[in-house]
Amino acid sequence: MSQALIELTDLGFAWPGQAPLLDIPALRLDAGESLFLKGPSGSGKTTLLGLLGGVQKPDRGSIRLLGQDLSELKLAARDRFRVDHTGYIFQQFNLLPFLSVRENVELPCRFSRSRAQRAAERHGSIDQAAASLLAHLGLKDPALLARRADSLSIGQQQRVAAARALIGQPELVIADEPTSALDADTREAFIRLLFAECRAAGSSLLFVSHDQSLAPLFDRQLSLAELNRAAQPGNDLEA
Amino acid sequence: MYLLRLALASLANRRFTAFLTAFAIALSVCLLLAVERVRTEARASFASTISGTDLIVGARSGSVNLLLYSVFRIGNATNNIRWESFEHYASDKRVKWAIPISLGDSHRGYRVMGTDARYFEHYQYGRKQNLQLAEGRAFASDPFEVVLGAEVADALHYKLGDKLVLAHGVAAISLVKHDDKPFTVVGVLQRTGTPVDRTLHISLGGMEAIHIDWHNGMPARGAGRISAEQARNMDLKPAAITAFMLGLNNKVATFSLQREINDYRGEPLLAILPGVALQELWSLMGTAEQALFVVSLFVVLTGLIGMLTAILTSLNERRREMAILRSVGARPWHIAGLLVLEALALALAGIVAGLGLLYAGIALAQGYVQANYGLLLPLAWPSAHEWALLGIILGAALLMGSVPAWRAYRQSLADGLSIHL
Repeated sequence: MSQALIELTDLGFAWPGQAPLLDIPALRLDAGESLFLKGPSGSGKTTLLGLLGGVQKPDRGSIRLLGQDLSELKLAARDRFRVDHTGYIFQQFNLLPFLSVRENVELPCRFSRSRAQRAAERHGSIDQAAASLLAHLGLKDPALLARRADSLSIGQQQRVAAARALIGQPELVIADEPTSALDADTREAFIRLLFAECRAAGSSLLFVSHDQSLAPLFDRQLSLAELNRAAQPGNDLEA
Repeated sequence: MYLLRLALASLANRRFTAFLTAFAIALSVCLLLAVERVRTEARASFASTISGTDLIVGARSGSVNLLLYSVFRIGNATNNIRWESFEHYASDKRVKWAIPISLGDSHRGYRVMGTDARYFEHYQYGRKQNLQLAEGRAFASDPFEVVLGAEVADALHYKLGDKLVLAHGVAAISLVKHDDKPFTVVGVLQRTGTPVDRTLHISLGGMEAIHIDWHNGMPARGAGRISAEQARNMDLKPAAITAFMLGLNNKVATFSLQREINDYRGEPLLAILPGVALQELWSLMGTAEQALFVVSLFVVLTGLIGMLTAILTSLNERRREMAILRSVGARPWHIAGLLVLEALALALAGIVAGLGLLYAGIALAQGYVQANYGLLLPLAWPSAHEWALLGIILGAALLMGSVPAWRAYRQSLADGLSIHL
């Protein structure tokens, strides 16, 4: 059995002054695995991603990332740990519009020495790493690298965001509805590219979406609503 | 360094607002420095309205009053002094030169001053500069000759050879004119930037001549009148003058001579040191000058508050930017640093542009200001005092930048990675 990348145990979380939002007995993601987590909006999915990123602390239970309990780290250390080991892709508008495509891709390397190092080791330099990732994701035109990020189409922007999440080979890529702004044709193509690159980088993929049609493409699928005891109808009535 | 690159790129993305913000700061900085330069120069120029004169002597009144009428041509003497008193001190061994002054008449609002050739020889202003004739010559033996100050000639369009009539008294519109004895313009002085420019200079003889047939402040009528031609042939030695200026051989004697004059038994006199009286006068006007400085400080503050507002307003729409930065590993202090750098960059751009505006303004206006106000605004590198002011502005910008920085810090802690649409 492979090593656990994410291991949630008996996780509980509530925003101050509100009813419990998350109550997850267990969740596990293995290294190199791709997991589809189905979560409609309002199911606590954004909060769960915040907890996995170490931005919030759980009220109860533990989150282990690569064997490290996030609660044991101080705020700054959690921030560093997050960028060293996790790449993020959001729904849309992932990029800083005023930077070039290349600079957007290289951003994690500016804030994480270990990712900068890994990118340079694998591709020779950070610039080459960015160019090669973009080329793999179908953005081969070198002139594109220097363009402002907001001059690209939405589909291209999402691929740039994927390249940014993957640069420096983080162990985990978290994608939060990255395809919701794409049309059906490009959606699947995007996910296949993402899979290929995650595999090449050896990264696990945690993919959160409400779009069930994508689920069969993944190694495994889970529903947050079933996983989360706090979201069950009985609890709602009590609250 | 990378933070600075990000801050600048983000600012460039909002270049219109950023430009306006920096421009407002630039204008306020320019205003502050301009006020500061004019203030410094005005003080220096004020102090150099008269120089080289050791004592000014007039009838006993207040020192500021004596300075005002004898040098600035403002207000009136309370009393005249006798010609004998002037001669007594003019011939004193300690005295190098003496200039008599007789005031009381005017021409279209400009004061007329009776004096003699010693005035053109010894009177000094600025950095010990003597009066220079721009054209013509000083008045000579004929009593009805006048030498104009530069502004008088300019404003009233007089040229050499023109005739003009003096009015009795100093009111702008005088009903009593010395129209039987017109004066001829024989010279025009170069601009000095001092009250000399606004003065008509005639000889003491001329001053005596136009009043020779006057009794009790009114001209004689009918047969009692004396024509200009008759007056030319009479003894025009004045009986009284308004004040006189003294230059001494040895400055050390100034105080003892001042005391002596103040104790003069012939009549009550007052001797003042021009420098001291100028100081006194400046301390009166200092309040206005201070007020101007304070106002320009507040303008700078307004500029900086404009910047604060612009940055604070941008925070909300930049939550996405912050969240993206957080997701790629920026710590909350990076976000705070970004905003402080932004404020500093804006303030620095404002200061540099403000200096640019100031120098452009000085280069353009220098000639005009010197000609019209006698102020030489130097096109010099900022003084230590000005650098200090600029440093304070930058410090204030830093302080103000820390407000949005703190808010963004809190915001990015709360928002985390969630992107608000």
